[in-house]
Amino acid sequence: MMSRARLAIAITAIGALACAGLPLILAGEPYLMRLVTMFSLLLVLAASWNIVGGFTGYPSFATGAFFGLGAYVAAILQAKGVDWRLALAAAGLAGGVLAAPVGYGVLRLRGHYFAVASLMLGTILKELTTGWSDLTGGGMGLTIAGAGGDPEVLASFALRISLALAVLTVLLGAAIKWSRLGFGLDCIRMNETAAAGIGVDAQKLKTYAFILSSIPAAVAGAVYAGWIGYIDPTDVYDVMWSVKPIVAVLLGGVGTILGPVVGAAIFVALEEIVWRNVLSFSAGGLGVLIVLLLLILPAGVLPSFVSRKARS
Amino acid sequence: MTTALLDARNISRRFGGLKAIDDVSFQLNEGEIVGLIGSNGAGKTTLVNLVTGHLKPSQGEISFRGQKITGRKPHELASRGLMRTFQIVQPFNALTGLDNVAAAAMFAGHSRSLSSAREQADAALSNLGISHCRDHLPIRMTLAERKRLELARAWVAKPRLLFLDEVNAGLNTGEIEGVLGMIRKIAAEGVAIVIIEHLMKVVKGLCPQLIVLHRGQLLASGPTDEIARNPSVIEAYLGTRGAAAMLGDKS
Ligand SMILES: Nc1ncnc2c1ncn2[C@@H]1O[C@H](COP(=O)(O)OP(=O)(O)OP(=O)(O)O)[C@@H](O)[C@H]1O
Ligand SMILES: [Mg+2]
Repeated sequence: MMSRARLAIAITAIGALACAGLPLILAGEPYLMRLVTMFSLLLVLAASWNIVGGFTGYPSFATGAFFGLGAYVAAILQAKGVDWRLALAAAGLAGGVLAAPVGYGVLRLRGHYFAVASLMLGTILKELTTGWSDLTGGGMGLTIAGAGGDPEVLASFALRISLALAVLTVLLGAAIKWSRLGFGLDCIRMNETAAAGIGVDAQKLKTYAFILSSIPAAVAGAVYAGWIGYIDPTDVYDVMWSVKPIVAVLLGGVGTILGPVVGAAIFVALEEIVWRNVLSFSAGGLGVLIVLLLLILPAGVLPSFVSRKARS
Repeated sequence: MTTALLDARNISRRFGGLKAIDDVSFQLNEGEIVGLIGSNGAGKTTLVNLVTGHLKPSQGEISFRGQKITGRKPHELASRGLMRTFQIVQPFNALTGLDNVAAAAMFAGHSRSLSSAREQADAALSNLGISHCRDHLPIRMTLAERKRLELARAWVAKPRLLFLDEVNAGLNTGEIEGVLGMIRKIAAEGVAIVIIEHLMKVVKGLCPQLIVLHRGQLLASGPTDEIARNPSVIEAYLGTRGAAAMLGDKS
């Protein structure tokens, strides 16, 4: 078993190497750059979903809502001339500020009820965004100011930012899992009644987890908006932004620190293979593949691999 | 006048048309050991749930250490020293024996760090004779071990008042003896304990005071020998398994 400190150092070191090296290695390879950026953004969403869905055991479908919110906050601010760094920070802040009351309310529900309620958040935000067209451009969408320079520079920039965000989110997951908060979330997931009986303030800790998970998701939306250059409500509030991270974590290993990394990589790889090799892309084909994988490895790739190694 | 450790006044709880607890009042003092008895469905567990915040009373007031606690959440009461064990054991299934207990030390017992929580947990496991369960998951433990685990969890929380809901149910005579020894150890630290128990022998051996519930109502309370002679208590028990235990008292 790798010690916590070593794992944290390894994640940081490999992450820093990737952030510094990959943009150079992949320079002049727009396809691969796009792929790694997509992977990184999916990893951010997966690692952030893991905090609520994995550590806490609440199957949230709200990831896409925070992603979309972050995209719009950043796009609107940048249109008003705000610096991109501030716009990213504001997106994260907006995510956290929205997550506090929503989490406090919705996390009282359990199981399917929670899942459905969390799914509603994205639907509501999408309607509000479409309706408030003075600010958001409504269904016409928004073009992000500052985009439209050299596409190669932009691609390299987006790659670096999304990689860095992914590393930070994985580290955030590790920090939570190893903290007092993570210990409390463990208890809540396993037995909420018993957790309350030993003094765990479940409502508070669950809300903290929800807030901490929403921030990276919102920043990911902001990065995505800057990268793509144009957003509209059907794109950034697409329910797939909520579903893909869940599938990725299920593939990699729910509630583990590196599960989201492994799962996001498998997911992006599968998606690309299906895209390239099936002439008419069918989401159904991808779905069947994923279901098969989950049947073979119900705990996800990482735990299955680790426990097999431990047994032999 | 000294204030009681726990003061429950006229508490009631309905489930639909059923009055599970009907206008019950009682007081508990610091360091006291009290038996809470009554036949199946009398309302014992419901009473514990009401006092420890797992259920809200439909009526009535409860104070703990002089402060109103009616409607407070279980986690808050647990960290203020009001603990309970569950009739059906409620372990954290993916945590080791040690961490099951360390969690209680951390959250209810106000440990500063995980390592100090684990130290306390280690001590509690060894005091309760289940050090060998340190690294086991609850699923690998016997029922008796899981009951002791529950006791260890309650203990490291450093409660002032502890409700034990049938900690002996399902255990054999030897195991019960062991658990009783543990309860005495906890009581020796000045913790007030309320024991819900069907075995009269256990109750008589451990509790100087009794509270008797019958169909949600307080039937009697007072010193154990008096209660055992109380005709209405004996009558209420007739035809139940409590009657056999009580009337057929072989000692
Ligand atoms: N959550 C609930 N909803 C509805 N009815 C309940 C609930 N909890 C308890 N009851 C009912 O309230 C009554 C008292 O139940 P309680 O569990 O308190 O009894 P008890 O004295 O602990 O019994 P036992 O000795 O079997 O543990 C029973 O009739 C029970 O069916
Ligand atoms: Mg009961």
